Amino acid sequence: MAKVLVVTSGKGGVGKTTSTAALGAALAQSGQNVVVVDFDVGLRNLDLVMGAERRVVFDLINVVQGDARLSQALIRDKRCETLSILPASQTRDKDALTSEGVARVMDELREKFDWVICDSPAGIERGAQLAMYHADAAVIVTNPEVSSVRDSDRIIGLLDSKTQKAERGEKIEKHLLLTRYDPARAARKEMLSVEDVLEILSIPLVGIVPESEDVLKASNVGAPVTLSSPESLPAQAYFEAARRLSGEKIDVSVPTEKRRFIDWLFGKKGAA
Amino acid sequence: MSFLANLFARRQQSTSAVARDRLQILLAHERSAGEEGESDLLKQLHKEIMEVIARHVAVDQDKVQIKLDRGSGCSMLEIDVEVPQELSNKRAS
Repeated sequence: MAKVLVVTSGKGGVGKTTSTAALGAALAQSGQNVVVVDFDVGLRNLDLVMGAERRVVFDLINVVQGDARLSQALIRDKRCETLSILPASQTRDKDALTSEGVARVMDELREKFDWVICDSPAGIERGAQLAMYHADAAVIVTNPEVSSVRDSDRIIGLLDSKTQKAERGEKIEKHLLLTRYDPARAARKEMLSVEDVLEILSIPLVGIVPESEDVLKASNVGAPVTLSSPESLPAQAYFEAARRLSGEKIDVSVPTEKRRFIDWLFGKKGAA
Repeated sequence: MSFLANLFARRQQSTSAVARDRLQILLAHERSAGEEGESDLLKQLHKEIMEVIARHVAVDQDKVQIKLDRGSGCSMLEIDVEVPQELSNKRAS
């Protein structure tokens, strides 16, 4: 039974696309069939972050409008064969995505894959609502920062009212993914702590991704961080989050750098 | 001495605690007042109240104000209808 997951946040720049790529790759690396779908029409970036930008021929809108078949638009990842990407369009008008068309494509994707992961555009407008409408579960990406937490609260409200599940009177599964977290600053009380954010948003935590250089390095070379540096702290956090999404019960820990003396001596960063 | 006390007091409240408190107050307010469901409810109320009034008196759409305040202890629905001049005169005579 396929599961549709939306990665959303309200606020832009908190790590939706990075997290979609990393979670999608992590789930695919565990052997499951995964497709990541870019809903950010006009500002597509998932293809770039995943290193597939030069392989885009058809996109989501072509498929929604019936100009291309789904199989023509899907791009299979070269590093991980169970991972595919359905890119968004870069130029076309946002209104080209019709609700009926999206519903049809989502049904088709559900048949082909174990996981359909939708990368939502920022904001709370139509595009974001279309991305979340068919979801069974949502990952709400939040930074430990006031504006991000506030926008996440708005998005949680929308998930509870504007999705198909909500309209049917069912509950949509919600997971908080805290990104760009700096444990040292939180300990000095200069940054909202995990507990603060959880208390305010009151949804279950699926992972804590630390602020890390590895995330930018991964997007520089066009690879999900779980593929390019699987030993790094953010990759470990995404792997664990993916296992929790698959239903495993593991405690969420705050990721911290553990450097062995020998690594330190050679200036090498080790991961926990 | 008060200068020292101020300095000490400021030290105690960390910026993350300030952030948490501000968010809690703001979100408590937004969750109760800013929801779209609420404005749908108000629209519906406005429409139905207008219908009832229109059966008896001709009232201008803009002369009916409906407000809903949700507090922690109690909520208040405020309906403000401005009745046309001639009607109030008729009733008085």
